Amino acid sequence: MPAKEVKHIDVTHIPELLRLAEEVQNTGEIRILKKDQEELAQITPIKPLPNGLVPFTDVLSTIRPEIALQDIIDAYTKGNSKQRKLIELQLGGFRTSLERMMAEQVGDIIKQINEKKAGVKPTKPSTRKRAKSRVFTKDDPLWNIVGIFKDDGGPTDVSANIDKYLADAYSDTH
Amino acid sequence: MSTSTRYNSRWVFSDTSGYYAAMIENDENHDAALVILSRLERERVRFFTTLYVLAELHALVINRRRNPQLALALSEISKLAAQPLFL
Repeated sequence: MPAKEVKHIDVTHIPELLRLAEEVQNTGEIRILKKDQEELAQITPIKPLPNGLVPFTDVLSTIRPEIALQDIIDAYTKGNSKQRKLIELQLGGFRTSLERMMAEQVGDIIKQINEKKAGVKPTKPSTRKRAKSRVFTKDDPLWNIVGIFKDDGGPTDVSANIDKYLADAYSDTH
Repeated sequence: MSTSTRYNSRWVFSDTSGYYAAMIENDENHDAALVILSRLERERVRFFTTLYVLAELHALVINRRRNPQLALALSEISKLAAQPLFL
């Protein structure tokens, strides 16, 4: 009797499953999916991380809002585990938004960090080009967001107290 | 928003509070943000920001999740992320 073919599911456009699958891939840890107390399914990594490579969540914990994407590798190199842990605590829910918006970019950085830590020299330089900024005109898409949203009944001092409301937003996601 | 001169152009860094004030009609700094944006448009500046700023903006808007305009606002933020605004 031939072995039953494993069914493949493309989760590219299923953000929650994609995030979970990438987490399993990058941490090398199995995840069990439960419904109440009943265990329904198990997600296992195809390939475990070789010793010494960096889990995805550790890399994300090094990201600080004030630094550019290109600086993340340097920040990782210089940061110690205590600093990374502190940053992780501060960022909280920010990481959730970040994961969704920057999966591709962060994945590329993780690959570079992993290669660097594993002592692998890149075979070719990155071909990613920086986007060119253009002059701000009346046709700029930035104008599309102006006044797009009226937060009836909501606070009116958000822009003046951005840190406070960001902290609220992040804590609200957990 | 802060400004600097570089490579013979005037560059303006757009931060989260600036975007938010421009976007939210009843924010106390909304009118001020419009005045600043209009001035910067006349001055033909170039904006730059980071994805982290947009991620913060995203988080703030998500926190206002009961508003029916949320989907539209998030859609426009995503479009901004696709524009060449980033250094």
